[in-house]
Amino acid sequence: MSDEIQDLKQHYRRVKAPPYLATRIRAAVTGRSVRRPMWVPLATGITLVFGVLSVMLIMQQQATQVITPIMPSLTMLSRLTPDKPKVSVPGMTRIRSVKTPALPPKPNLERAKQPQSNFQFEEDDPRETNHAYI
Amino acid sequence: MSLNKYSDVELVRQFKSGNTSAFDAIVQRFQDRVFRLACVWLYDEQQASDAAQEVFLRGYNGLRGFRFQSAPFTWLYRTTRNVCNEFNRKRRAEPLDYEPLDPGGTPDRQVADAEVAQRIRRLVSVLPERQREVVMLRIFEDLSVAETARTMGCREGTVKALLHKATQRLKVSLESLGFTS
Repeated sequence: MSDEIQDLKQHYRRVKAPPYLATRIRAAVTGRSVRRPMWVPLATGITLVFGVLSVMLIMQQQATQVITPIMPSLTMLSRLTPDKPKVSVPGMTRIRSVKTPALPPKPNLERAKQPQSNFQFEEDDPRETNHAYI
Repeated sequence: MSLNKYSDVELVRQFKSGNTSAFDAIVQRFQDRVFRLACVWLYDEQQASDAAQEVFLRGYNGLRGFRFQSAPFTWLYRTTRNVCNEFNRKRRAEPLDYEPLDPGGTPDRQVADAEVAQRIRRLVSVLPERQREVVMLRIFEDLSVAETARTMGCREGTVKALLHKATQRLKVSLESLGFTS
């Protein structure tokens, strides 16, 4: 190895850290909190998201139960007997046999010979129509 | 028993078990190496202290989960590299040119350290990134081939090949830069 590099190496090995460095490191370490692992905030976030979603699902289920009443099944509905009205309802035979009053006779009106009109036609002047027969 | 007598691995084990004094011992043991590396990797050595502080702050949390699949210094070295890259990106790194240090009001030792860092930076700037890493770890940090390979995450043969290419380039670079012993 060359003398120059050896000389440079000796100078290099004499380089020392400044005396205040250790004090600064100790002060910085004392004031610094221990770094949490990265997975802790991630797990906390995921847990919070699941919690919020669960609460929202429960609230939604409660809301749908209030809005939609319980629908009875068709089997139950078929077993129900309708309440008969207290008023007697006549049957169709009786309804058809009911006689309606006779209609009045139709009026015997004279047939109009001429159409009814308020418009009075003027008679044609013979001088205007005579040439038409030529 | 004094914590300074523990090995690197034992110190980290002590820290993991809750002994906060072990972290102070880790800082004392590695702060010089981390600071030196930051001085060379950063384009602005004024930020080296901030970068070193950030490295150890990340170590305070990161070493709690250390699995000992590598050496503690390997973890610190890779963290230093990442922090320096982030700092350089923020600073919009400029091409590696000589930056004269303003000595106004700066202690002489710090000026000398900064000049050494600048010289090394100019020297290794001609190297590709992997060769630069090998030079810094194997030559300047004096790690063994095996330790360098573990730190870089490659095989020992790769470290040797990279080192050979790097030294060839450094010879040319030293001549062109006019370095003298």
